[in-house]
Amino acid sequence: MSEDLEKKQQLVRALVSVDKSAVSEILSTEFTTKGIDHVADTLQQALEEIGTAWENGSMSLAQVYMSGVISEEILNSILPANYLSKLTQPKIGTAVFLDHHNLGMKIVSSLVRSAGYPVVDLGVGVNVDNVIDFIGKEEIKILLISVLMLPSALAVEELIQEIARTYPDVKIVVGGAPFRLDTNLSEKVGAHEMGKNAGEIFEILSRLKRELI
Amino acid sequence: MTTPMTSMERVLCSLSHNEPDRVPLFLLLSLYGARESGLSPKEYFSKPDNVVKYQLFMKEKYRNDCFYTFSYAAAETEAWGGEVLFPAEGPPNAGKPVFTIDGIDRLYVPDIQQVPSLMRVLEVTKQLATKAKGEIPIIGVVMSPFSLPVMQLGFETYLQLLYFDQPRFIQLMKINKQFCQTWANAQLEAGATAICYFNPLCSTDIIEKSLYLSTGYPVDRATIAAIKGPVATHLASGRVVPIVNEIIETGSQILGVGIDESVDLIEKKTKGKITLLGNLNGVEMPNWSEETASDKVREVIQQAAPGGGFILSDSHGEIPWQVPEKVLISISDAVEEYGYYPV
Repeated sequence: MSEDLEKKQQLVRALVSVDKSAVSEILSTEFTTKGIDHVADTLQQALEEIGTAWENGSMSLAQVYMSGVISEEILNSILPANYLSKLTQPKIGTAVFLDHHNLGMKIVSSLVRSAGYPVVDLGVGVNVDNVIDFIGKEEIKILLISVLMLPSALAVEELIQEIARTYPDVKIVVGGAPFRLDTNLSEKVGAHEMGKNAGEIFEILSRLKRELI
Repeated sequence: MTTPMTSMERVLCSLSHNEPDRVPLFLLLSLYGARESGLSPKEYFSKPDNVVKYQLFMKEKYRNDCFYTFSYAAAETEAWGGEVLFPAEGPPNAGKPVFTIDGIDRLYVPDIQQVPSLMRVLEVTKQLATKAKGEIPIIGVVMSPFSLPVMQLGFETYLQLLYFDQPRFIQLMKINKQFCQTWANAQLEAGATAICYFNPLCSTDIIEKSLYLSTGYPVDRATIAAIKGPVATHLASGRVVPIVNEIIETGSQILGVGIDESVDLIEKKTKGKITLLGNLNGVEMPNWSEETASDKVREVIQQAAPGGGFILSDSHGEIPWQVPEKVLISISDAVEEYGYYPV
């Protein structure tokens, strides 16, 4: 096993054990020896692995959530000042549409922030008008929409139609239980992408970034 | 020609892991009654007479084998002072979290007699028991003490409690357990036949098994033991296989199964030990054609029904508002066509 792979596995174990001090030690050492870009890469790979492990049933949602929260916290403590502002990643907006359950979105936000993307969160229980105003005001390029309830998922279709009319270049990613349980639903509502698990977000963002260029 | 079994006989036969005349059908129709009535969910659940009328109506219309007294999960948070948000055409949602982690220190067990939403459920149960005359199972519902804090505290705060504040977690479980068993037993006394014990957090989809076994599992075992009637543990679509033996050991007689695992596999693992309830995909149902509904019913029956110990139902514990009537009727038709034993 390569040194990088071994380090990633150590990081995965520390994250899912909710062992903050071990995560901090691993990431700080990586930062000192290999630099911040390497830290971000290692962290992204570890979080992708944890997300995929949730999808196949070998890790829990609680572990995915705690991994994201710990990653964000530790990364913020070791990042150089102004590091994020120097990055040229597209601005990402997050919103929990109509629903009031924000755990899924919190997980994805933490993961995406940990990978160096600028993220602005609109909040929970938001409607079409809130989202349209938000996209314009914050100059959002990629919008991540989370829902828990089926009626909210179905109502995403109207939201996406309105975004397409007002901000046709904005890319839309949907996620949440209804989209996972009915794999045709994201296409039906007109989303550009659907994330089955939080770890998929990095691959999705890579694809969307290519389309935005 | 033999006389058809009553719904109760059919279900009891299946629970004893024998083959009844046909596969029992539990269409878990709660909010759907509001759609049938033309009332908003808020209006519908505000009067027990509405719920009783449409439980009776839907039992006949969809040839259902149970009455379902469940109103909405957030009703239990009203006992703790929580707000319920009523959408026009969807399930009522819990509002903001009811208390903080610090607030657990000052928490006490609410008196269900003082909670109008729970008292309405008891009134529905009493009226349906009179109508059922012991021939139709009446399914009551409780949230497990381990899962209720998602609504009480909010999911993120609850995870912080679970990982980092064991003393307050234990205190909250003590209070929730007392509330849960009291609420479950009140429903049984009012005439419920069995209690559906919703416990999505015990799924390894949500909480890793090692953490669950050291935190929620002892609470679930003790609570279920204190409920004075049959219990159906339902994980509301969560995976069950990794903890199925532990669920069986709680004394649960029925297990609700989701769609992420093969019902065939679960049936093999649990044969003769627990009756399976499931697992038609409720989220997909709004888009099903009548033919699809029929095919899905046939497939699940062929996988899980031989030998008994199986009740056909949805995977989540409630039929969504958006499911067309024709799909539900097709499900009932398919049970008539494919559900008679030997299947």
